[in-house]
Amino acid sequence: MSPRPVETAPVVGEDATVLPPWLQDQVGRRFPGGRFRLEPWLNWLVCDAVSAPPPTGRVAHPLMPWVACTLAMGVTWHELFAWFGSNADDGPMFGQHRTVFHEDMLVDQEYEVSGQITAVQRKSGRSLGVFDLVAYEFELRDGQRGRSVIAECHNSLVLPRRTTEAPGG
Amino acid sequence: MDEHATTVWTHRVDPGRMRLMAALLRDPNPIHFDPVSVRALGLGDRTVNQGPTNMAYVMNGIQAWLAGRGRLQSFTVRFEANVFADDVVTVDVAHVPTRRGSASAELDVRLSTPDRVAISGRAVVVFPHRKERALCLDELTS
Repeated sequence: MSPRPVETAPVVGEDATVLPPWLQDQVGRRFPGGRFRLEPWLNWLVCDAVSAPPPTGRVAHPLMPWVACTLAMGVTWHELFAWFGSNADDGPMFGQHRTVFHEDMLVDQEYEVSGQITAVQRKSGRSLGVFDLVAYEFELRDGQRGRSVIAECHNSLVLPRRTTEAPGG
Repeated sequence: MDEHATTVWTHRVDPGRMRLMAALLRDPNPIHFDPVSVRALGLGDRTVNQGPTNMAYVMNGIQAWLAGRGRLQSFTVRFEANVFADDVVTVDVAHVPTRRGSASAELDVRLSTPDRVAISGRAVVVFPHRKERALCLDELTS
């Protein structure tokens, strides 16, 4: 894991919304990824946690592709936030999400997860101040049957920059 | 979303399920399980529901409406506001007429509390036959 670069508040006259080069360099960075086996108990508990009816067959809840991708992305949330010099205490938030379902995800089945960072933008808003908008995507592939794509998840994270407040802001 | 949206799912948010979800997702953010952290961040006194759980509520609503007669093909949402423990949330859907094939339908979707929209977006569902599509769309407010 890359160490967090030392980041300083911008000096007067410097544009706080200019993305530092070390953050821009994160675009294209690939998640280590990994294999994921969907156990029936996990699907049952996720259904319970999201107040869905108990599962009755092998087809997983439609949230499960996203759950599988994040559990098998190969880094923890702490580590992912640290790629951008952020952490859970900064109050990271989800921005947008898109799942494209190509096939049903099934319990008792092996999957492979891969993904990468696709964009980073620095922005400024009235309520959040300066924040980074990080876009990342995952592919969930069948781990056995020809590695066909089961689902794609496209996501964005909002990372408030508590340490880089705009001048006067 | 227009005034023709149909409510397909209603739910009161249970903080115990938030704690379960935090454990399942290995989500380290204490706002989902520790009211002291929520207060320290100035977010009030109630724990904050996970964004993916809010997303799953919308999926639950679509699936309840479909009742096995079709399946999700794509699901796109924007997170607009927090949902807190004990909030009562509703999922509303509205059919968006498009030139898509007769075996699919596009929907505006929304998760809201009585005073705010938490999630909005669009979903595409596919049906095995025209008959199922017609039956499902007939159940939505026109």
